[in-house]
Amino acid sequence: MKKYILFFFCLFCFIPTVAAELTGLEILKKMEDNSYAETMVYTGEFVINKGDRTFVKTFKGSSVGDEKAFVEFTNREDFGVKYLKIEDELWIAEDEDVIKISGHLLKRSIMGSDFSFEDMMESQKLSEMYEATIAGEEKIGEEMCYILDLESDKEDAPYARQKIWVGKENFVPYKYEFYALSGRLMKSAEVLETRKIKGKDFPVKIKMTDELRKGSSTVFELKDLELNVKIPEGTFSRQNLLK
Amino acid sequence: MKFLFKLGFKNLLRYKERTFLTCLSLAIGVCILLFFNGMLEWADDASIRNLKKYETASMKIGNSEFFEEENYIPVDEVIRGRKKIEKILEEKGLEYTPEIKFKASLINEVTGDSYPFFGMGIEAESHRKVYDLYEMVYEGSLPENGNEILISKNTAELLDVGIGDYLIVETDTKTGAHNADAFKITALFETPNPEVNKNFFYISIDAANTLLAMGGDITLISIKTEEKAETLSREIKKEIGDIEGVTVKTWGELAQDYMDIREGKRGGTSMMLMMTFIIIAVGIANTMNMAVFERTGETGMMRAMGMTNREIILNFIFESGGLGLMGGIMGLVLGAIVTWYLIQYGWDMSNYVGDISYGYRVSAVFRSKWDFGMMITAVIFTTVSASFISIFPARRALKRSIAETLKSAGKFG
Amino acid sequence: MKKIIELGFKNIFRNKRRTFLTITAVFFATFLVVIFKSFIGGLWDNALNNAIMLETGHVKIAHKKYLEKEKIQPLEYYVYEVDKQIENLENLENVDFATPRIKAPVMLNLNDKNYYTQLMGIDPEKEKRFNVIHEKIVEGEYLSSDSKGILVGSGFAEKFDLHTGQKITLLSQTIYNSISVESFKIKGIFTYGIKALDERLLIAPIVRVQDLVKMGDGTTELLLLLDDREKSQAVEDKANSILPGEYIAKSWKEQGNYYNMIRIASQIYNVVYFFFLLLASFVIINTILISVYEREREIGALTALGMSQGEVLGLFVTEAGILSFIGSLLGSLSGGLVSYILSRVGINTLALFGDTMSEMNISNVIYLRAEWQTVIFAFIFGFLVTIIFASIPAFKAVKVDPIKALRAT
Repeated sequence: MKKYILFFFCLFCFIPTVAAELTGLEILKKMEDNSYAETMVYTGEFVINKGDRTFVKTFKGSSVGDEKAFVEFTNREDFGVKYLKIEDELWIAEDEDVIKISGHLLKRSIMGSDFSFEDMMESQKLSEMYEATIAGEEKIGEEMCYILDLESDKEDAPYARQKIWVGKENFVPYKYEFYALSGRLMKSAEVLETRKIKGKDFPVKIKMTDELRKGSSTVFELKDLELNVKIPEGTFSRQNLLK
Repeated sequence: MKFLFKLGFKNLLRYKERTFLTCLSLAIGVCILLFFNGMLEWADDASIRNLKKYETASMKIGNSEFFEEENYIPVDEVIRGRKKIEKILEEKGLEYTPEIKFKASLINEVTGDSYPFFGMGIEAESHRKVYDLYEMVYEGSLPENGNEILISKNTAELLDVGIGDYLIVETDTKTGAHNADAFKITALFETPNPEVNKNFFYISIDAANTLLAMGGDITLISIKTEEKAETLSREIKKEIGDIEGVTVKTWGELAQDYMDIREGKRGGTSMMLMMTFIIIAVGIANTMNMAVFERTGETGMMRAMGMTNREIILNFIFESGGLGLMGGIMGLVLGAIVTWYLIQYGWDMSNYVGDISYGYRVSAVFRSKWDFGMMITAVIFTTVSASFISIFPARRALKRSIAETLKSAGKFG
Repeated sequence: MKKIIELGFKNIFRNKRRTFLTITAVFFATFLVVIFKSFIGGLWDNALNNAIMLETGHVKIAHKKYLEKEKIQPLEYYVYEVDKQIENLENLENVDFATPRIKAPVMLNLNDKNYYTQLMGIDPEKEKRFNVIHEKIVEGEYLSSDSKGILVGSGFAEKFDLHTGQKITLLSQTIYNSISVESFKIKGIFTYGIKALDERLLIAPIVRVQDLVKMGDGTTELLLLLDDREKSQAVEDKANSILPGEYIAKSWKEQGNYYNMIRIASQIYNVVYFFFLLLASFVIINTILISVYEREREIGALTALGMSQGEVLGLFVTEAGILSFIGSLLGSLSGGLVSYILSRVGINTLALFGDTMSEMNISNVIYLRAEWQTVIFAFIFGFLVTIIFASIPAFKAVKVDPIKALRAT
């Protein structure tokens, strides 16, 4: 009898270790690797909801990792407005007029959406800024996810704490929650759609909601997306802004 | 000399009613001047008082980079050497209070409305000693505990909230991280300073410290003093000189926009002075002219008796000077009564006041202010200019020969 | 009666000095009364005109929500189809013309730093009709309707070392809650004389600002300029009745604090004016008294010669009347003339009172308010005061015992 119990006991002991025991950090890194691309070329749109009004902004652009990005708006109202980011600097242009944005203005929202320049521009990797622990598991839609709890000890991290629901299978972040230093939920984001590109599941439709201001949310969607394609020389330059 | 003086004085008494009326004219002129000047001084003062009582205090100590940045409030430019500074202030026996000033949005969670404001983290007990905000709070008191927020009546209306409601304060911390927290409205205020009413809200300094992750740092120390701000500021600057990057700004330096308005008012007073003195000139000139010419006969006789021209002119100078002096003093008394009345009871303009803004911070009841300098100036000026006004007619009278004057004596008697 | 009038005239010419002095006193008093009132009137006209010119118009029309949230200048609440609105409004009675303005907060990058300031879009031709900005250009030129030019305040230009011909790039929000960037060439630099404007305001043609904020043919506010400022309330009501519900018209009196400030200032100045009148009265009275006392002896003689007390009194009053009529007439008319001239030419307050009347939103040159009412009032005032106060002592003097009076030689 005792032998049986011991055997089963040992069996149970081993089971957890059989499943891949990933740390929070590893999950986070895997998630970042997944969404990392050397280069990206895309078209997309923002649908901005502000209570009673809705704005749709379409754009096309390209980026190199997290360091460079060039975006041009193609919807009627914002036609010709271009953004250029190189490292930590940002320029905005319309037709032939260019202006540089610096410092604290980067905290402002892009085109009135719920995404700030900072959100889109973050050059530093999450894995470098945050300590990640696994807080549990939860099913989001069809996907079973790790709940990652990210806490930052770096004072300049824009959000003191984030929670990310990362898919166990594909390491796609299906849901984000951004917390203020006080612990209050400030923004939340949800991945509404992913697409398989070059073998990877890539989030292509994300909804960001302002949890402080009722009724304010933005849906960001990439329509055409090509990863790791060659980007023409001079794309990320001031001259390109003036074209 | 003394004789001439007495003679002049006696002449004044001869024509009591005329003297009285002339004096009255002068008195009214002086009174108007003092009334107007007193009110302007008061308004000026009141404006400055409102500035100091609710906005700038007498002066503020802060990081020079903090004061220089005009585009946003750099919460990270904190005061270094705070303990040392506070020790210096205590040694001087000054009342001071620490502050954290920051930019934030106040959000009404229910409606989703939000507007930008300046937030002040204050320490209630010492704040009371430096500012008068606590007197302007109706319902509730200065925020002391936890997440209490004090907003103006304007702000409450704008955001459609009231006491007991919550507002979210959204801001960025010292290091640039986002933060937001709910604060309960425990008090409302309304000051006579519309800039403060429109743009500021108050939370406790501890709450601000937490909200902005200041780590115990502050950005401003505000000081109240009855002494002249410029002098004290220079003294303090010298003593904190070796602390890096810290400087002192007086209320005048802090409220640049207001300072320029003050000078415009000087113009108003000058104009009043000018007009009043014209009246004085006309009034006295008239009287003295008459006096001189009707007494041409007397003048002739005085000359015949051996008085020199100079003495005669001096006589008239004393006479008119005496008029000026009496009128001036009368005016001074009248002006003092008016000033006293205004200071005691004020002149209620609240029917007309919406909320006066644009630089000038005053409230609805207009008062006055004692300006002894102007009072004395008015009396002296009146006396002096009155004295000299009679010179012209007197000299003209003396030009005629004695015989002629004696002849006309008959006509005028 | 005729005899008395004749005698009165004779007496007046008899004693030239006394006549001269009395007339002079009355003249000066009434003259100064007119000038003072005109100056004060001019001062407040100026302050009011500045407010109307810079901010309120006679009637302002905007979206209701725009005014509610004016603190943040929400561009999304604007007035559509401006031309159509203007046409409708200009047809209203008393409306001289309507002009649109857009106010937008903008950002520039100067010396590698970002700065916020205010941009105002105007219709350059219409603005000329009530705004003096085109006369305040110190460098360069005023705007033309279609140029890509922009006007910059001299304080602003000085701070950032800007000159005409230079290009500045502005970033603005649009009505779609997004961002727009546009460059302008500095066409002119203005010195308005009002610090807040000279240091912060940028002015461009409204079509360019509409482009910048993507407002199409809209505007954030419409200013109505009337032929009669006092009709603003009536026009406000009419405008409200024809405007679509989201918009609202407000007369200048209901906007901001200008009206209140002026009312308060008027109160104060009215008191001062009252005392001024009192003062002027005393000057007149004084002079008259002198005459009366002088002539106590004459009164005695006349009574002794058989004139009744009534006749003597009549004589004095007539004399006083003639003198005061002449004095008041001359004084009030000259006052009127001078104030009229100064209403065209203006007084340079800069020279008189030094810099910074400008801070009270009062310009450097004040034009007096020349009004017939003031002249007439001054005339009547001078005349009445003189007559009344000439009579009182005359009454007293007449009661004097003729023997006593004769003896007082």
